[in-house]
Amino acid sequence: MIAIIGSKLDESACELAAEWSAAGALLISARDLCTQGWVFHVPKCAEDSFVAGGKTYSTARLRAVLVRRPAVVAEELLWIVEEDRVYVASEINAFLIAWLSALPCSVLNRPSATSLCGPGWSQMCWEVAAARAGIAWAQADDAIDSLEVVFCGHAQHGAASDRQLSIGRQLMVASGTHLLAVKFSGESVAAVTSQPRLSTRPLRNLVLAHLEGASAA
Amino acid sequence: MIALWGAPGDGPLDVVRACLMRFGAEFRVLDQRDDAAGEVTTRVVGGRLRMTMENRDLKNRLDFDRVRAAYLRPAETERALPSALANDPASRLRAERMTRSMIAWANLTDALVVNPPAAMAVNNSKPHQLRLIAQCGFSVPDTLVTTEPAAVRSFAARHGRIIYKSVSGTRSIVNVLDDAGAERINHVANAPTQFQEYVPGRDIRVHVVGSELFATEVHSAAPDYRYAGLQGHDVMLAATDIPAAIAQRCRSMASAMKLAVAGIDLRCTPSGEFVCFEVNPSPAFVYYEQATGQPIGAAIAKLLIQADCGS
Repeated sequence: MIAIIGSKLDESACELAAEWSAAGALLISARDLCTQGWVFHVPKCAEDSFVAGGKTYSTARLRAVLVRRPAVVAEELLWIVEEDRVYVASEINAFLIAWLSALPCSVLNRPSATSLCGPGWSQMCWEVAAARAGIAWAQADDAIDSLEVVFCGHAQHGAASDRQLSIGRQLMVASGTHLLAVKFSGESVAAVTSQPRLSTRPLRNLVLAHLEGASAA
Repeated sequence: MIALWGAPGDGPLDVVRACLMRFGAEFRVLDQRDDAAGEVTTRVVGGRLRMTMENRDLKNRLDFDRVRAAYLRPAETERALPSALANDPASRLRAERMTRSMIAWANLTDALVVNPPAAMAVNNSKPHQLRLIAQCGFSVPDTLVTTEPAAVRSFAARHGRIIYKSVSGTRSIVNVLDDAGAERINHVANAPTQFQEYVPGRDIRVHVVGSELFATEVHSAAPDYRYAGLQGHDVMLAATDIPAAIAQRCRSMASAMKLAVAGIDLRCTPSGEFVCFEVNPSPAFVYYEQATGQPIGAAIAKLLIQADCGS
């Protein structure tokens, strides 16, 4: 079973769950997080369960998780009374950070304290991380003709030079991520995100293969 | 130079500032109330974030390369600004840009920052922080986060007495689940809710400041001594000692969490075991200092001065 943490308002996340249904993919929406059935123990997980699509499953059945949102926002929680939405959103985000951090299966990407998907870095932070690894950052004018390469585990999608491959791997290590999109302008980096758009089927297949491979390993 | 960022009137900020003045240190207060009037410039040079900040009259320019130590006590932008500015979109935008830049600088600088925002953010998820605490070798209370009423009943049956509190860093009063609370258990289906086994014993707040440590024993029958008055109880604080091994574990944990200053909540059980509940990355230490005379603010000031002097 593969869980996708996403919003029902995010068409691409919903389509991904549908496309991967044969692999046992299920969308965990904000509504699911406000549904009876979640059980999470700390410090030891025991008989834990989660909710996806309104149904409860044993957490032990999870083979991998793909995170498609940096946070749950208050405005999405329309079933919660308005004055409580900000509080409930912060509680849900805090819970997801703990839950995703504790899962023994593969999670793309693990959360940080400030983002459900990866380190939550601004482009300024990526630029500093790149500079510290000896990687050049493109000037704004050069970034117009940038090409995107998506790195997933040991594979990548998009034609990349050896130098670009090396840069992508270095940024993954620096950020502790296993899924990363890097926009290159030549051998300079123009932008980085830990939540890439999975816009083509070959790219989605690459990510699915990683999730299934990681769960088999 | 030492920078203090926050709004004057904040207890810890005021105490640290007074100590720095007493010690004759060179410091500058970056008053958050002025953030809407400031301009900030950032750029990355050689793997470092260079930042300059100045007021619109250009009289108070600060090059952050000069800052070797910083103490951060920011309030939320909306609360920090005078109401006239908080209600002005352009002013708020400028203040928020200032906040983002300060946070980026504080996370990326080589200077001593008490504490880096990224390290402080771990406190925003209490069950996540509890796992990190356990990894540092402390006993932690058995904890359940759930939307399942049956799981709460089972947890309560296993532990007898349980408490509930917020999952996030949002401040909440810790309460024992009583009969009235038990009647509302079905409400947990609305959002993940955190429950913990009740751990009996003596509360001890430990403030770690660099390598220094101040332990304060809290005498109160309240489930949450911070709100003892509201819960119909008294509270008394007294300086105390803790075993050397526990003190060292506190120091190691603060260091592992990249916190130069931390407020660690322990409880010593009747059997003598130390259970850790939480690590506060921005402790409001004045409450403890005023009650016990422990020089926590002075220790923070000295830590900043040492970093500023490069020692």
